[in-house]
Amino acid sequence: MNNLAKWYSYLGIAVLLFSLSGCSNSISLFSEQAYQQDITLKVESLALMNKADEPFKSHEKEVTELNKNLDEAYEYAKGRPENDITTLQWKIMISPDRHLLGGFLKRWKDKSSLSPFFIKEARDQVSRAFDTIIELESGKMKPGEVK
Amino acid sequence: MIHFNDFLNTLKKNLGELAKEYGSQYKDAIIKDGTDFALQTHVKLDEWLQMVVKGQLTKDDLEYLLEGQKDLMRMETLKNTGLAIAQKDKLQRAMLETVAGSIFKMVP
Repeated sequence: MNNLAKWYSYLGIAVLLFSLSGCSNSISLFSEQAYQQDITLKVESLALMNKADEPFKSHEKEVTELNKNLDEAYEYAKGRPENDITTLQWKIMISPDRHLLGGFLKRWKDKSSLSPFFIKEARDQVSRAFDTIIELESGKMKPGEVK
Repeated sequence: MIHFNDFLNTLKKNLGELAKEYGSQYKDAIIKDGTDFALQTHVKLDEWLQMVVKGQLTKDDLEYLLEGQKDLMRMETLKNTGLAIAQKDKLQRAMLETVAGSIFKMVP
């Protein structure tokens, strides 16, 4: 094999390896925007949950606004490539048929107000659920780590 | 009356389904998470049952919170699965870069 042929074969292997590296990335890269959004929504959600011992009607506007922001976070997660796990986490978090934030807000609306002990326990669950989303995002590969 | 063993059996069933969904390589992590979670839930369940007796929590609220614990367990498991995949991605990329770097060093 002459030198030029050798050079092309080395180049071919290298290109193939880098292509494979790209294909094997099976979870999205870290997103600073998503991370900040997660933290902001956690703070806003827990603050609003604290008011659930008051009539829902007095806070309906805030709940509508929070739901809009939660939907945006879900859609943003859904739109990112290879982000199925985080998207599923958001789905569980906001679904009114589940028993985390979406379920809590529906229950508040249905019952008008909730008991302080129930709020405290449900709030702990939602807080921990947000942490799972935040911890997963911060554990993803940072764009700077991809050469 | 809610029995902890019934709850545990439901959790185990869900864990088995989850392990199938994400591949056998994550099975051990999924089962460990589930076991840890079940133990934590046991402590919570005792506390909640006492609050039901004291009238500070309705039976309906208790059932809701138990469902919440199951959703939370699913969130924890998803997080750990995602972190395991992220670690695998990092290792794979570092390995490929090392191989590619070695090839380039051989090029005259």
